[in-house]
Amino acid sequence: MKRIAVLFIIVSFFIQDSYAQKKDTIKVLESVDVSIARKFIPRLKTLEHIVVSKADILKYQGNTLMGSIERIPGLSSINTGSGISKPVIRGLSLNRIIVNEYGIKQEGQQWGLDHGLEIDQYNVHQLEIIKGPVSILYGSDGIGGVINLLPPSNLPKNSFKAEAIINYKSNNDLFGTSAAIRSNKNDVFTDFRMTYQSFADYRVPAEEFTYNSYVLPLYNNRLKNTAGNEFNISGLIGVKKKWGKTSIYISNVHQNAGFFIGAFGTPKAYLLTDDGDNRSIDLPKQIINHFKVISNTQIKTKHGLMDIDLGYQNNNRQELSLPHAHGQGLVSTDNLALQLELQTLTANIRLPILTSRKWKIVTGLNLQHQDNKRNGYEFLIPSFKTISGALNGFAEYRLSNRWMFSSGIRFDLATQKANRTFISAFDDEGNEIAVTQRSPEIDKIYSNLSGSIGSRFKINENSDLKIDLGTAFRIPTLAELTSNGVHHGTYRHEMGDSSLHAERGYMINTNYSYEARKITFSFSPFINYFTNYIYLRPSSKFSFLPDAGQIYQYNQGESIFLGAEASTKWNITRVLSSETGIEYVYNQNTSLGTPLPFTPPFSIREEIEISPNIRAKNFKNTYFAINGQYFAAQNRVDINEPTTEDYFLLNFTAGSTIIIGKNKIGLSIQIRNLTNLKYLNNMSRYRMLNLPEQGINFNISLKYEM
Amino acid sequence: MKKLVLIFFTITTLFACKEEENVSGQNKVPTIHIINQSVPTESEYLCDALFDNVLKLTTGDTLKFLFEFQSENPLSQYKIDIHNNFDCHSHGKSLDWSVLKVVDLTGNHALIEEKLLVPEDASAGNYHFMIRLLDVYGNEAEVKEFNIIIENSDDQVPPQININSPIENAIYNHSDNVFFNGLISDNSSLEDGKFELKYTDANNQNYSLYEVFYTTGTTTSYTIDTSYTIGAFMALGEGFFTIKAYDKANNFSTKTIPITIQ
Repeated sequence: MKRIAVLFIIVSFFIQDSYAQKKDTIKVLESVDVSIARKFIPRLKTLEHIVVSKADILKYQGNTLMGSIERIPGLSSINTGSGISKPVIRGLSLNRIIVNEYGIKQEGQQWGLDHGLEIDQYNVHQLEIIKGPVSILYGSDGIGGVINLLPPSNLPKNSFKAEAIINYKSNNDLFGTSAAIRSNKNDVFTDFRMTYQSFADYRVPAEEFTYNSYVLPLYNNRLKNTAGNEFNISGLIGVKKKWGKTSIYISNVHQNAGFFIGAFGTPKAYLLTDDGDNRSIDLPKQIINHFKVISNTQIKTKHGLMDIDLGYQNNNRQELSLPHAHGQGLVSTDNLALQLELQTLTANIRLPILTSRKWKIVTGLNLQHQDNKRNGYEFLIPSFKTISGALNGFAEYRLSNRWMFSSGIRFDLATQKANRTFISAFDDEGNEIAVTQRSPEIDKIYSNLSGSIGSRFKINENSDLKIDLGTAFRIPTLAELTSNGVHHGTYRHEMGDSSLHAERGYMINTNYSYEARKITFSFSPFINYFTNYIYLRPSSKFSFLPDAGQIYQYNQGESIFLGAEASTKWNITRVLSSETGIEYVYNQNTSLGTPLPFTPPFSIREEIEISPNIRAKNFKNTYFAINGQYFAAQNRVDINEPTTEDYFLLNFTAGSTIIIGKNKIGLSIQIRNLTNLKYLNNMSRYRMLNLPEQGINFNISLKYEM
Repeated sequence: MKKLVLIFFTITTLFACKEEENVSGQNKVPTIHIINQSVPTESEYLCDALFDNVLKLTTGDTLKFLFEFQSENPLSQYKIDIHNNFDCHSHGKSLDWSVLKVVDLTGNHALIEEKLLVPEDASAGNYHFMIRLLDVYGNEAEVKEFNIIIENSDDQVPPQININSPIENAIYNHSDNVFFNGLISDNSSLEDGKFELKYTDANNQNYSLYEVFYTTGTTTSYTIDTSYTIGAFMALGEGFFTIKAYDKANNFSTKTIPITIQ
């Protein structure tokens, strides 16, 4: 595969070269892409909205997309090793966060704590984050916010661009490469990309860890079997006409990631001995393939752009482990523990029906169909089908130059269907001896009416105030309704409850922002109150499955989330700048009287950056920055969740771009965990095993652009 | 604006100060104490790693434990879980001796005597033994865990290994084929047993080469006839092959053959 990637890069340069020779009239873009043609996305005006550029993603690049953006206040991630990470916004995760790529919601078993995000981070052109309830616009699951991955802006007519990136990370010996070619020939635009990334078992600054009062070894400071790789390919072709534009995007993301060998069942010393190859991906592991086809069309109408986004996604997840490693009592001949193949069809239509000086009104229609198939010797969730549809309307009213109001309403209808699932038990000879029902029949219909109202008030030239009141809702996932089995990664027997209702909440979000030439400041407090938040409750009863602990039962009840983020950017001089970010979330499951699990701790981050104005014409965007982030102890923990001590992480970044003719070479260097600190992160799934996080990590990226 | 911030912080503080129900927390976790046990805990190598929680038993023995369960909250249940761990990596292909017992508890304190009889026909080998405890809020006690080694009272004689090839101190190059030829024989039965082949190179790096289950129909002898190509990743210098053979009762013996890679 590495060979294919290298070949691809060589071929792409060759193509580019011949192309350039033929066409002398090609315009080379001088600087960064012009900002992406902004659609009218109404909610943005009354909720806090953050834009992250491609350059920023590269500057702070982590192992995964979430790792590259989690420095933003309010954002964090739940990690399983270095290759799997789930987005968290203000302590809300799983199906409470939406990730949209090119207008289509990413669907891939988001309910699982150890299920990462199947996105090629090199293929992210620009992303925006909206913190707060976005259900009105994006439907069920839009409780905590949305991460929108936006399509690339169009290149100018008859132009061409190519880029290649190579990346090395020392901690897990990650080697990544990505290459892209983009063109616009007479308003027919294309964008192709290929990415390959491979990493070894990651290193921690520890030689042993303690679990269940046993001291267990970590040979060569590495976590055995946390290696992985990723191979992604995507292509976009579109056309721009007088009436608007349309494009088709096809992508395939393929991830292969091992789990720490001691993370399944209880860790045993003999499993941890070095196997002589720290790049091997042995059992237990997961292989995920996410294929998608997305069509985006924008048609100019009297009142603005009408959007039609259509998508097909196929998410194929395979979790492999040795049979019986969890004592399910089933005889299996292969290592396929769990396979879930989820196919999703989506259609989103947005039509502006009125645009005047004072009013803007948009209506929308969303349709989705899902078909999930399960396979494997373990049972967690059944095969199922869902159909959902929604109608929404959103209005914006401009009272004066200073006051703006917005309001939205949405009606959702959804059905879920699953057959009863039976699992057979076998004796030693392989004869079926018992059949047990593992999940009930599901045939449910949900309907929901939700609304929001918000306002923005410009206090003066520099500052404005936003306030937003909204309701959010979420349809329970099949995992919450029906799961019945030991979920590896969580070490417990999880049981669904088919009588759960949709999760509903009321949310108040406010934001104060101040922007002046030298200083920007933003403060965003929020309160979320859920009348029936869905959570896993310890049942205080043991599972009758061998080698399994307590049964955790899905339940719902009241809970509350509140907190705030604050950030400032201060350009002290032309060369020197400072950036500060603070975040805090307090939550409480008020029906149980306990905090909720995986809550990010209070943290404060400070970055000092020097961007010297180098006189040499060929150097651009040179920077040196040092940043430190303090994470407070997390003592507010759920039952059986361990508390985590505070820690301070220090990182260093530097970079520059060299321009030679039409060519740009960008170099960026990052040193993460500069002090090689041994610390535990309560957002890591390996925290349960007392496994420390990655030690010092040198990260070098070289980007060639033309 | 200032007012808003003030209101927000007041609310936050109010919530933060609200008295929480005392259902969880470090000091609320129930505990398991072992007051006495009929078999001493020993240190022993299992699957090449040293364990200090090993209980050695013979089929027909009775294992007795007196546990003290304690908690600040009322207790809910305890669970005894014994299952085999024959090949160290999974829980084997048969469930020979297994105990799965969940018992309800009341009150904050309990003294429980557990008598566990090892069946006469239990397969010899390694087993896991775990004791878990819960209180009514679902707080979990730290799991008590033991490794049990069961020896068979009928057959305690390990199999014998005779190796013709490779010969001791033979010299090989990288990518050479090493032919293994020999005989495993047992006084009782080799049925359902296996042999393992390992190599330890000059850097003390271990490589698991093969794990071979005897062909069905094997009774008291099995002929080893296999080969292995010396990997380029194995360090030059003196190393040794280890052959470990198991019989039906999981008695085992090992044979090491020193060689040199040049």
